[in-house]
Amino acid sequence: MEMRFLRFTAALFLLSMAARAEVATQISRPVAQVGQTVALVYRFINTPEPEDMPQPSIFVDGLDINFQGASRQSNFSFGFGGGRVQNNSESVIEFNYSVTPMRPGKFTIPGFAVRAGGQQIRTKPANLEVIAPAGYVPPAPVPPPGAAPQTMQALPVPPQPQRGDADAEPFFGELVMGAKNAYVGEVVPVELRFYFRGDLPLSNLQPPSFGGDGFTVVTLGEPEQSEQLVQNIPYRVFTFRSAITAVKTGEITIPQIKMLGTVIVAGSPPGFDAFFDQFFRNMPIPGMGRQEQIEARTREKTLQVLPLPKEGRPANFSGAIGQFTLESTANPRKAAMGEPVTLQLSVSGRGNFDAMASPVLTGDEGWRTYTPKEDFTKTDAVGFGGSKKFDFNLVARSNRTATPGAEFSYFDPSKKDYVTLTAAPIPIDVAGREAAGSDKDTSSPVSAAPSAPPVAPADDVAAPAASMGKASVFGFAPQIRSPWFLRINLALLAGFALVLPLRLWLRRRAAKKAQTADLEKTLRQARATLQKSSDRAEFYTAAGNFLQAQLEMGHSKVGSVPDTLAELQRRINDPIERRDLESVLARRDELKYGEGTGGELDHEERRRIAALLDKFAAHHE
Amino acid sequence: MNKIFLSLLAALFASSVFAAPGDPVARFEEANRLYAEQDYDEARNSYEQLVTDGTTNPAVFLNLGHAEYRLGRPALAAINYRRALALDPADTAARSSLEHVQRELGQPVAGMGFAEVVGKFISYDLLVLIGSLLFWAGLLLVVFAVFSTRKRPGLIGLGIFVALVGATAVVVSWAGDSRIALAHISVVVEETEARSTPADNGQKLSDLKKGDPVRIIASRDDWSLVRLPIGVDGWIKSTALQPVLPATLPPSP
Repeated sequence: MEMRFLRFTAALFLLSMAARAEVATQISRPVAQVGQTVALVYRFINTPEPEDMPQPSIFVDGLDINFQGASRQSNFSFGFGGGRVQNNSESVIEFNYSVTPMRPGKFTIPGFAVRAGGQQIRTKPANLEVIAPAGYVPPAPVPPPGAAPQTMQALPVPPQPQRGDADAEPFFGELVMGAKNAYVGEVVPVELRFYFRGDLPLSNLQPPSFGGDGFTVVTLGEPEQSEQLVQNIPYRVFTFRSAITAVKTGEITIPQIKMLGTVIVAGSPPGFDAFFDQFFRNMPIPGMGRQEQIEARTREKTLQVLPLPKEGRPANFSGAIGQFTLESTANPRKAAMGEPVTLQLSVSGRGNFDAMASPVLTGDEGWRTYTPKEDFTKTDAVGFGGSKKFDFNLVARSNRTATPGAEFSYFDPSKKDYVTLTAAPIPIDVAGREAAGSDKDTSSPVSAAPSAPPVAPADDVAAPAASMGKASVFGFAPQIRSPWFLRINLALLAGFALVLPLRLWLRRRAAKKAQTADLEKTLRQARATLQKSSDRAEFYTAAGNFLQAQLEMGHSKVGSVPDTLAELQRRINDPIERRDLESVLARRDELKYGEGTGGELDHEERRRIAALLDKFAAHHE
Repeated sequence: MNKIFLSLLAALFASSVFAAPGDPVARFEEANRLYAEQDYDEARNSYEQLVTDGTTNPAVFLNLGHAEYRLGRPALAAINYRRALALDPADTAARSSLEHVQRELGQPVAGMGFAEVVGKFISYDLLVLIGSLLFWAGLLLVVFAVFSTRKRPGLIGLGIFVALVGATAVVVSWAGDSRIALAHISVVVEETEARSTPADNGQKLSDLKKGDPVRIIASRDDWSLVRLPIGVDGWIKSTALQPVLPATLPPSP
């Protein structure tokens, strides 16, 4: 059995040796900028291992080519086709080099011969075109190998990360600050750089969160990605640009900042038993492996924050810290009085534009000024550099020959002192409509026109009126206090005071009339029923209605007597009459709600009740 | 009859043509000419004559203020600028000149308030007339709607709204019209002292500078009881004061 397996393995080896041999030269990009590192790979496929590959470098004038390492891979695959067993085997040996161009130009990395298994194999040449980056100066000093390129002009070249063993530290972070000391409110640009070794299969990179006590930060944007050699090891570098502003004095600590990501390491993929781990380690399969979370972190740093000095602080200092310049423009240069003139003050430079207040106008007598509009244009990613424009709308209240000037004070951390910039007044021509038309020479104290007074100079009272214009109709006596105004209003008030009660009285009287008419109608109907009806129940109902309406007539309002019996007792003093009338109401209720029927009314009863009601009506009309 | 008519017509024509020297416009132009020739004293007299004649033209008070200013009397200039502003709150030349003089006198410059902003757009006299008309119209609407045979809640609401708008306009006029406040305000035109009694040997309360405004409370002989800027009342010689509003005008009721 063992013999059969050995034979099979030997056959496979012979087959692999018999496969097609090839040497390939690959360069990661054909065009690169000066200082930009590209990868150069020599791939030996199905060849014996080369013995004398150039190490540690390949010399090409203008290029810095350094050996980075070698890797070996062997792939086997089996299949059935055409009724026979087929196999595909491939062995690949890769030699990796980094190429850093030192100057622009077209370069050819020549091919060379190496020995492999007693034979000579020749590599193929590779071409690389190197272009100059923006701002490239031909005699630029050659940066030392592995030095990080300076990407933000304000920041110093970061120190080479100190690590004992590059292989032992495949990822790390670095916080680069523009200063070690700062003043309260000063914007300090910072860069967060996270290095990941080039051969790490990175995925799921998460942006870092940046913050802490005692300072504010500018929100991190998208990072810049680049390749960089650190101690001859290629790294992928993610650079985040931001800025911090200290809000308190003393030493503030900038904590560690972490950037998380995932790498796929050789080993059994998720779902496989740990038993297979060693197998996958020995025979890695591209794209398959175990995911591990990694965390590149910066070191903790401190920043000494100083208070702004009180000595020499200008009165108009409003918190601007940095280095700035001040420019001013005015538009239009010629206007009539009352027309707005825009004075644009532009503060440019580097500093805390967020906290910057507008410059202060000087010599603005004779001008009506308004809160300026602000517009900020940043020249870098974090708004540390830029230009802030303040548009002042000015309206002349008298003839003016120049705009107001302006002053802007800021604290310069490099000078450790306050600086006040001034913008001189801009000559313009603003004149009153009448005065402008009557006198061209605004500086002359005497007018050419005999009737026109001179136009006032800038820092003076306004120009005199050249014509009388319209007189005030009402003069110095305000109409609100004039006798006729008061009289008219008093008359209107009196009219309202009289008319309103009268109108109310008329309205109530009309209502009363309407109610009385209703009651009279009820009385008429009741009286007609009393005369004609022979039904006893109907007769007594009409008698009750008559009594009710007659009592309500005393109030001139329908429904004003809810309790007829109580009202009778209150209004009729004669006990016999009261008793008779109460008996009428009681009889009505008995006929209405009792069990007995009324039957036909006799003549005597009708006469007696009618006489009683007539007497009641006569007494209470 | 025709002769009389023609004579009247001729007289009217003649008066319109030959009455130039007495014409306010001609006098104003003459004053302007004097001012332009830097004869400020004569210019001031001419402007003053127009004021005495009862002009209510803010341009006259503005130029009179300028003449007083050129003659070195900023307190009197300030008075006339205030008069011009009382007649026309939108007069920017008078406002800027008043502010300039106030700064020169070391007085605080108030700037434009709500009242001045309103006054720029509408005359307070017109505002009070419109306001009172709206107020009464609104009340009439309410009365009509209340006594109408039908219920008209919308009309009542409209009437109340219109009446409120009118009342607001009247109140704004009352509060904003500087002439009301200035009616009892005088300006110190020569440095003087305020005393506790209307006598030269009265206890001295404070010094008053040129241009200080004071509120007149009462008068006795040649003394005026005024509310001083420090908040107390004191007596000042009336000759040291000049009312902001011209004395030729009838006193406010």
